Amino acid sequence: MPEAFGILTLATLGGALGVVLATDVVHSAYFLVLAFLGVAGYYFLLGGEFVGAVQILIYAGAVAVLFLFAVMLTRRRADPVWGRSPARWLGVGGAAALLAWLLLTHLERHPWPTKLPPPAPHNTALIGKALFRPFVVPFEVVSVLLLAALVGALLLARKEGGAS
Amino acid sequence: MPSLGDFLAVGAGLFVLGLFGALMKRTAVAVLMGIELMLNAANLNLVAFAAFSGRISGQIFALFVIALAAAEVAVGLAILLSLFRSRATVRMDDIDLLKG
Amino acid sequence: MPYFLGYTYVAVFLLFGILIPVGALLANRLLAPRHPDPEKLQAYECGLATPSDNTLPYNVRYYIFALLFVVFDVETIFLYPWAVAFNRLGLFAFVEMIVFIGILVVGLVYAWKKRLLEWL
Repeated sequence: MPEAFGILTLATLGGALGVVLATDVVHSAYFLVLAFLGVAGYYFLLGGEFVGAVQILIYAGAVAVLFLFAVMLTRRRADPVWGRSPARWLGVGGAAALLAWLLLTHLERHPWPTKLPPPAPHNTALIGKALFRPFVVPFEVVSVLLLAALVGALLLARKEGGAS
Repeated sequence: MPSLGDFLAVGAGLFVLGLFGALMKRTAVAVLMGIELMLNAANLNLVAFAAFSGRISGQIFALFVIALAAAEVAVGLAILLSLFRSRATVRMDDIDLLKG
Repeated sequence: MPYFLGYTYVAVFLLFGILIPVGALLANRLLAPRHPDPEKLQAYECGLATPSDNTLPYNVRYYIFALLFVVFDVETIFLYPWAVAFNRLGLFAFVEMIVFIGILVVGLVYAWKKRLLEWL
């Protein structure tokens, strides 16, 4: 279990670091898939089987394909982070470091539970039941949101559409 | 055995890296990737809290976040393609029409 | 830890899924004759010299199909737990799911009517 956690941490944070540091956007996309798969691994480790499977299906599968097609359809140019101005490095790097420091020191101070309760069996069925008892309204709202996103994105992506 | 704090620490790391990427990258696609990393960090926290408290709600939240993130990426990238068609660039620095 | 033993099957499938393509590529690399020279290593383009800029304007339909796939993929992730828990959910959940699918079908009909489902 600690070994699995270590490997997943390496994959997730390494992937995220790769997304940021890669010069080519396509390489960023591949590193992004690695980070998504690492996060899916954590979900399995935490007993969230269904969310883990969804993470692989939606993020590592569908969203990654969407990213790759978007890269394919636009012009690719090298985008190294070390080419940015020193002022930007100072500002963004300082803000990120400060945030990391704040979060990690506060995490350290709190006594977190170490014992994971045994994962409940029939994870997917439990999600199905919860989805239709307390979460019916958000569930239906999601369908409206997906419809709006679908129609809006189609309208924007269509060649003959748009104001121009 | 990793504690809840360890999962939250990974989430914090993922969020910080995503933030850094979103603010440092020039290509709009890479900026969206940074935002996706931040959403994943939030999801990881939700599922970790759900697992350690023995309740399912956190996982449902994560499911909704994934659905919203997919919709967000779809629309975001469509905007980007439309922008690329009218301005022939996806570099954030070149999109300065409103700067005056 | 019996819970995680169930994932042994997944690990075995994953192992074979990785080994078979890697093995095929490796066998090709070991068995095929290879005598590379600069002429051969050029990208092949109908016998003409390759233009320097290889960013081709692809058809935006690629993106549109990926977009439709993502949206209906997200629909599937809500269908699946519903199907698993169907026996214990009753008529209410059935009606809710019909409404859910009905709203998304509107999007599909829109794409169909705008002729976005055809490859031009």
